[in-house]
Amino acid sequence: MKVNFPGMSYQKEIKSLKEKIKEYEQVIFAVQNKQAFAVRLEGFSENKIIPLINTNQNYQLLLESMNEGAATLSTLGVIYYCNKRFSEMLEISNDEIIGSSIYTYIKSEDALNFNKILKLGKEIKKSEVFMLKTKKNQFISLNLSLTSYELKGVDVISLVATDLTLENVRLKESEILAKKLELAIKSKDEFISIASHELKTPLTSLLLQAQIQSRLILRNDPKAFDEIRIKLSAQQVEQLVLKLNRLIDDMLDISRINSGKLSFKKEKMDLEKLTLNIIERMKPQFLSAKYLEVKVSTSEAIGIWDSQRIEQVIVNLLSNSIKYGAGKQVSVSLSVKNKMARFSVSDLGGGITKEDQSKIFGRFQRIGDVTKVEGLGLGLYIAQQIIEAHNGKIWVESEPGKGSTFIFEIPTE
Amino acid sequence: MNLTNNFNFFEPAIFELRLYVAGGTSESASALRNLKEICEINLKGRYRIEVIDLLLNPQLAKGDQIIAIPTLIKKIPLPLKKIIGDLSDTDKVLVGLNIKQVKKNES
Repeated sequence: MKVNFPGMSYQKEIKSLKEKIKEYEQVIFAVQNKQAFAVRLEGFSENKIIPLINTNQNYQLLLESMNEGAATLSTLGVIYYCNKRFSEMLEISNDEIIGSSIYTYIKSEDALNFNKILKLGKEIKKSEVFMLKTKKNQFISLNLSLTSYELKGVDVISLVATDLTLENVRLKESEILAKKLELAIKSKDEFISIASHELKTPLTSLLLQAQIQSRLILRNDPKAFDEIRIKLSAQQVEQLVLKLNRLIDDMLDISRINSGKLSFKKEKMDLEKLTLNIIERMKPQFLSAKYLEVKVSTSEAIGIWDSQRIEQVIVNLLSNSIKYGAGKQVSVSLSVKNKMARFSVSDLGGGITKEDQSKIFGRFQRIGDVTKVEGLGLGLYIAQQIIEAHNGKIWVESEPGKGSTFIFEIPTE
Repeated sequence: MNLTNNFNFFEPAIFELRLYVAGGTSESASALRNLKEICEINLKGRYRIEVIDLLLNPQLAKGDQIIAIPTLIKKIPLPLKKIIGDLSDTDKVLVGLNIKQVKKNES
């Protein structure tokens, strides 16, 4: 015979409830007194262990801010802890990594080797490169430094991961930078040698002129006082000094551009007038280079520009066409369209290859047989800086054997 | 042979203890170290400790309904007892394990 004592069942339930309450009281006490360092939550999709703020916050902060990945492993390779950087490296969330096995991420070919290290137990102090798999199934090369510690009776392995792919990228970047520097130094060296040569040539001529003159005077030679000879000599000296002056101006401009101190004095000016003026002034140069014809077609172009600087550009472009135009026809044209003044100089010289076209606006660039052509190779670079400072652009259209056309456009407003 | 010693005679020779921790952190390690110290002093040669890492084996928490970590469970001798916390309070642990008297009598 079965006898039910409802009161007894209640008593049992109450007893179990009382025990539960006591347990929860203990939990609260432990949490409050920092004797519990994690709580376990049940009833979600999966049970979670949530760490409570612990006393090692300072170390944690340090670990989290490290640029290296850091983790602690059990002797079997279970990841107890990993920092933010480590989870970034693997592109897997911290939660997912903690509690999983390190072998989940190590490339299978490397697993045996890793296992060998773990088997060293207390002796582990190794640094080796391993391939680790990221979430996207990509492999990254990591240098893993593994050291074993006994933490109050428990063996723990510390792991510090350095991203070698990143390291390689940095290495490559610095290599590229070193190469660029090397090139810059080389081109500067070249420039110094060109510049000294260019400066020396007119200086030698000047010295020669002076020496001849003083010798004639010493010898009381009547030629020393020959009016026509003196006039000719003076003209030559003037040309040489002007040439030296131009070279020095170019060098000064370069240093101003380099230090960002190239200044402009923009005023309302007539570009057509300036162009015609320059061509007129340069007639002797065209003639001495055996140019019989300069085709000029201009229209009115007025804008707010730095006339001295624009003149510098035009003189440079015309001098280039004299230098490279092989004495054939040079055409100059100036037009205005859509509020843009367009200036162009065409020659029928040897032209410029596509490869050289990309270089000529660079610094210290002289193309072709540099020994035959004088100049510092700075003209087009300076011209580009000037045109760009006027919100314009400068470019070249050329084909080898068919001559070149240099064009610049600057806004009239 | 006094009464207390007679009482000891009926005690099971082995304490079966289970310590739940999470991860190989220094906190886990210190809980285990505290427990080992207490056992060495009070239960020398009469205890067995099983450490369960819930990060390694989360499913093992179900049976003992673990809420906070670390938790120590005295499985044997019965009754089953839970001690919650890092076991730094030796007296609390000894009371929880029902060996407080044992300590008193032995000393």
